Amino acid sequence: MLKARAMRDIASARAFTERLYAAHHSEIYAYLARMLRDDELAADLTQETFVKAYRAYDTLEDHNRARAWLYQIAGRTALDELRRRKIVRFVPWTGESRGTASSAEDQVLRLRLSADLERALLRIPPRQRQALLLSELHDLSGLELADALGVSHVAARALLTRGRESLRQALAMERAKAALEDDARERVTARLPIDRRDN
Amino acid sequence: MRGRIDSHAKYRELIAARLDKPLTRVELRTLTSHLKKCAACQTIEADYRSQRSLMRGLAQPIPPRDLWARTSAGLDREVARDFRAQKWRRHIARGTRTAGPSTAVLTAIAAVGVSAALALLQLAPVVGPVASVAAGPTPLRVNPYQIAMLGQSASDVAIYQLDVNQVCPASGTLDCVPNQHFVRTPISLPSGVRAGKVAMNSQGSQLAFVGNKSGKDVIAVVSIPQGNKGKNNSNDAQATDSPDGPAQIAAEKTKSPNGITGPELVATDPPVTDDDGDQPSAPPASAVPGLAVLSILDNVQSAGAPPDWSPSGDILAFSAMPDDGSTGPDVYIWSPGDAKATQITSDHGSFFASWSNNRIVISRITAGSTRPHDFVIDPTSLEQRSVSGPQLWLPTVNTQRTQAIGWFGQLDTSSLLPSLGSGALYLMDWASVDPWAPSAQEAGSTDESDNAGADASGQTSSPTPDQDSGDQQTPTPHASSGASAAPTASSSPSDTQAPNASNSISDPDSPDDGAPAQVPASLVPLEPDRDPGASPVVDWQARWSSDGQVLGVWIADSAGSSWGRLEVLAVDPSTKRISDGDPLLPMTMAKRGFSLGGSQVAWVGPLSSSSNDNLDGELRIRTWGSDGDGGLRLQAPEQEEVTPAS
Repeated sequence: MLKARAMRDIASARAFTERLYAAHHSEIYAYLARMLRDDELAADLTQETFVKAYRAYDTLEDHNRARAWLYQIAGRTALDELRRRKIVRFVPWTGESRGTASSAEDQVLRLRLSADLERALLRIPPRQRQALLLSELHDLSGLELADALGVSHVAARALLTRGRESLRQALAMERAKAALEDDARERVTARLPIDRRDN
Repeated sequence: MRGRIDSHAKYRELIAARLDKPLTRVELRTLTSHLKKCAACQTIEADYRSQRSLMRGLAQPIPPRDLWARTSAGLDREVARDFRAQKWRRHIARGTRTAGPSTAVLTAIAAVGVSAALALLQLAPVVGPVASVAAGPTPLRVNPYQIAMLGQSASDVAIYQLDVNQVCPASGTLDCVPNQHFVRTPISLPSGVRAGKVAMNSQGSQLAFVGNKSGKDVIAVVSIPQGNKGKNNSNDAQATDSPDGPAQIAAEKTKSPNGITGPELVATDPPVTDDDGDQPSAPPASAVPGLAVLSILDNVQSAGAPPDWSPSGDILAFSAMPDDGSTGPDVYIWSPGDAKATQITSDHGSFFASWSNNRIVISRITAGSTRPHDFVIDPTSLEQRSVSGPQLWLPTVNTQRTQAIGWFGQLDTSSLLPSLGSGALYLMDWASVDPWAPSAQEAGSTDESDNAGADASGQTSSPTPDQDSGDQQTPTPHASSGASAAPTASSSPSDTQAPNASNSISDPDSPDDGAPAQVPASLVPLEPDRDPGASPVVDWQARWSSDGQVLGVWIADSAGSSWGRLEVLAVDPSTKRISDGDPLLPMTMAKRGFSLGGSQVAWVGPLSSSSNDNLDGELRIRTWGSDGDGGLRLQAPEQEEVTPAS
């Protein structure tokens, strides 16, 4: 009997994990890719997240909170990886952009702003980055956010607030740096003969 | 050194908090009052809103296509580990000592891509447990049945056959049965040809497939020697050239150098298609030696359901159209001994759907119509009868001719390759519409004259393939005599384009005005929860078990995708509905192509180990019966170690 029940547990855990995967793998992958800025690593850690979810199946008390629970596992997995590696590789985003079609100029500007933002995101502390990503891009509610971050509701809000301010300052720095680079480029271009300037 | 106190910090917190939740009245009043007089905080508020907008505009990372395969492999390893740990605990509890939990069964293989080609023979129920092997869960014994599959790599194509008589308990590791080895028989497929859509007849003596090279299809058949079943495949057959031509297919037995009777060989080389010409040519020198392949129709594009054998295994049916798109598809049949396939329709709008016992079900789209009409053709007399009632697209009928499953929805027939739009799979009571049912013999109509291009007179009076196989002028798509209708459509579950529908398939009694039709009440949705508009089925395969009580349905992840989801369901013959309760095989990731029996299903799933990137997948078997569920996981063998057939 014990054997049969244990076997069922294994099967249940596996089936449950597959259902979780079907429902959430895209967002978990996106979360990890944004946290780590490395698509391949994100894929590895997505796999690891679901394997960990399988292992921790017995610890999930409320299946209605499985999504936040999964984000918590993914977040911890990402933080572990960041601590282990102490490096973050820059890999350009791939995939489709949200939103409606825009003009070429808009797209160039958008790309530029996105690049600034992505660099700025990397500059802020990982826990704040987690809070921002989960709140802004993954639409986690207050309770879910707290669950996913593994902290109290108040602490989650505090992380989010600090994250916004950190990102604002980091973004300002990135823009200032970009402006300086643009300025330097323009000065170089101005010294070139007209026929050698970029159009 | 401590920084100075930021008097605006509390306002920034309120600004940030306001983005996530409404502020209290007091907080709101405080913040509003401050913002009126503080330009810096106004800027901060604008920055926060801007960065939110920017963040939400970030590109969405797309998961890699193999993410599930990798994750599934990881989960499989965990499940296996859990099971081994559980077994170890049981041993400890019993005070016994046992060897390590090694359950390695499969030999490593490389460079063999499983091409989703399976055939399952001699299906039988689970009959009970057998003695345990040294380690791992106790296998369940099943009555022997055979699985065949086609494996191919860039330099090698072979048929793999395996006799299965034991499986593992489904809840544990699926590799508890040792010494599982495939019989490997290479075939001499011309280089560059990729084979797919494989069908083996019920005797296991003929294997048909659709080969493709440079965008052109060839329908080909391989005669499988019955003598090689269980032979050590170190005696792999070698191709021999023969001047006797294709009439001697499967008629010649050869002895291998060591005197052991080898496979029967096809005595002809397969004609192949030139890259730029229409004429068949000899296979290139680089062709892989092995069983010869007989091309029965070339320079075509496969259409409709994949080729399939009659239940008796002596007639192959399929549909194809000229590869240049000069006409639409027609239905062909072929029997062992025929040189070429025989075209049995000439309306250029007929798509092979399935067999209805010993007759052929086709879906036909006539010129100017946007809706299909189903017919059933007797391959002997070539008499065809119209199906009444709701018209499914490519219905798959069970052998008992009691039920069918097919697609119903919006179909765009404006191009040569029609597109499946909003639609889903439905079950229908075939017995009530079968024009060849005893009750319908009198009422059933032969092909109506208004079925454009049906060529009723020609077909009903034409000789049967058996009568005229020796000297009949086999029509070819390029020389399609009697073509009376312009091609109207060509479609198959696997040849559909992205959903983009404008017209509809509907009851033929309703006017063909292109308007979407309501699903007739007599159709039962296979997946009641599926929204055909938001999540249409655009590519699928369906099979019935020979007893008609099990239905397997594979639905592609997207049109043309080789991967999709497979589910096996029990069917209640009394209600003709899907039985309540858990499916026999819950929806699982599978490659296109599976075989189904009354108590087994075999498919190719993602690799459970990523140790070999050359592999395309692994063979999985699931069984069910009164003694519980079983399963088996196998990789195609690299080493030529053969288990003699029982």
